[in-house]
Amino acid sequence: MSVNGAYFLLFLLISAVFYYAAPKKIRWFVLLCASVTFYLLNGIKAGLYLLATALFTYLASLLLGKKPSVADGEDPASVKKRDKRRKRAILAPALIINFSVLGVLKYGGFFVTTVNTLIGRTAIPLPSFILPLGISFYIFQTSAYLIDTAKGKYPPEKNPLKYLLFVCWFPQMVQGPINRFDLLSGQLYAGSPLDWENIRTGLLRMIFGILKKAAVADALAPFVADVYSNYQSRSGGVILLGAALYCLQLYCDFSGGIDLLCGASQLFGIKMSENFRQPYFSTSLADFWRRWHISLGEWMKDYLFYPIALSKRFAKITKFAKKHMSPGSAKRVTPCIATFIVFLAVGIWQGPGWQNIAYGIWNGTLMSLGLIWAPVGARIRKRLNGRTAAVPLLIWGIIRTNVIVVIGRYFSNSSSLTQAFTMLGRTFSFAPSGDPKYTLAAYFDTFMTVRLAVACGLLIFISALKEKGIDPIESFCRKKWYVQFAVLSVCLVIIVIGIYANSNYVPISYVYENV
Amino acid sequence: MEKILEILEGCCPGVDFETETALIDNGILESLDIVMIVGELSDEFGIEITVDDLTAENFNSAEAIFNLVNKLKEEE
Repeated sequence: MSVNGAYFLLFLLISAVFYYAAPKKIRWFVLLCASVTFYLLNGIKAGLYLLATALFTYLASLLLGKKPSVADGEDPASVKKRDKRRKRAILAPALIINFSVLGVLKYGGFFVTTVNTLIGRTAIPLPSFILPLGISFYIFQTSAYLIDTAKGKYPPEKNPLKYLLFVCWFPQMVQGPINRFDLLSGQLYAGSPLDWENIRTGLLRMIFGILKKAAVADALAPFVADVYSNYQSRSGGVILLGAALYCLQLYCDFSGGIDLLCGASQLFGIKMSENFRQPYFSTSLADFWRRWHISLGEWMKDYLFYPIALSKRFAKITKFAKKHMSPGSAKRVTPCIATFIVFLAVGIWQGPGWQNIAYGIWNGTLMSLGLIWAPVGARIRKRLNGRTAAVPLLIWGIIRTNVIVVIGRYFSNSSSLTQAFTMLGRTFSFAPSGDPKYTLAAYFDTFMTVRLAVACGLLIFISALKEKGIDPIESFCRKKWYVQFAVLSVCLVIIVIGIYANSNYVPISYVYENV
Repeated sequence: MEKILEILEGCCPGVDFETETALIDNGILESLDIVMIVGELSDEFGIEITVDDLTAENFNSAEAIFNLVNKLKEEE
């Protein structure tokens, strides 16, 4: 079931009616039924994978949450040590198995292709696995749950059905966000009272999400797809425009989907983790990654970056660096290497293919260089603080960051590394068009340009409000009824025109739906 | 405390560590800063700061960091 279609709205309506009609105590069960139905409608086989993960991590978490037995007179320190060893013996294989499922299903084909290419013949037949909806998201979510349970951050959920709801809560299944158990479970199990403010906010957010997706992302998709498919005959300028507009398409696609699904979740009084904070206003690459796909960034920070950077092995690296480098540089070695590893993981997370690994290397290298450059940058900012040059520096920061992000998208949206480099080569050599019949007007007629301009204008206005710390929905609700009516009418007209005025319109799957 | 302030200012110049009490909550210290600070503290005081110690309460102010270091020193 596509979350963009009318069926999804009907599904939401029926689920909400049942939810609020049910006694408070069993409302969580209505959510479970809705979530299981939603997932099974997307495929029975995929549902079995999800169920297996939920069952496996549920049992593992019960073992991890077991209190240690204490022998008479045993020293508490030795009990703690023994329990730590026991938990590690459960957690490590549990995580390996959990991620192996993701690894095999998502990267099995890529691995086999690489091995066959290296050998020079088809030694291993190419496997054809189904990729269950949202597998990356629920594997990351359940792994975080296991680690937190092992640490004793919270006790494991004893009720298997309640745990299953945490794993398969339907608004998070399409493209995240990666929710944390301690933030989500309480809301899921409590049974929210009917609150019109939640319904209004949820619906407005859903409309904004659909606007982003249908009027911007899907409108740009045909042009972007053409550039990335026919890059060999497109001019350098058109390729650059394609990569830049892909950034806008991806943002409106991903954040639009998140808006739609966070809005849907709020209809049930459940607030999920936020995933975006105006990323294209970032003044540095580090700032960008704090604003883009926040739930993945937080996951990487808590469960990969810190454990690597604070490991004993890395402490040895720091000691070695201190012996051979200046103190200022030595203390940056460990964070630099850990950052590089994290971004390599982010690249691999994007999907199989060397172009994604290159995307990770591109970001990891620049983030590490940024860390080395940080003291110099801080000195410059301190000197310029309060002076007129601070504003141009801010603008320069935003432009520079966006250029870096656009270059990164040459890799992440290509189907091969060769393609990414060819596209970059054509851009920077100002290659002329190889197709004399090609014209931008075929994709951007006046009607389309005006529609895009209005939608983007609205998007920038709302983003600017958020950047100033103003809640656009709250501010919208305080306006007179006729202003609200006018704004909603414009949004709906753009959405309807976006979908129906284009006879070739085909709702496009979310970019991160199959990640 | 003086040594801790020296380490903090060495890792993140420009931050007013003497008065700031929401270093984490206000996003003043980022993960990269924290790793650098942890590395320096571990080295200077011979303590082991683990991932479990990386909470906002332990890193929101210089005083909180001072208390964490003292607690870990006692445990050593």
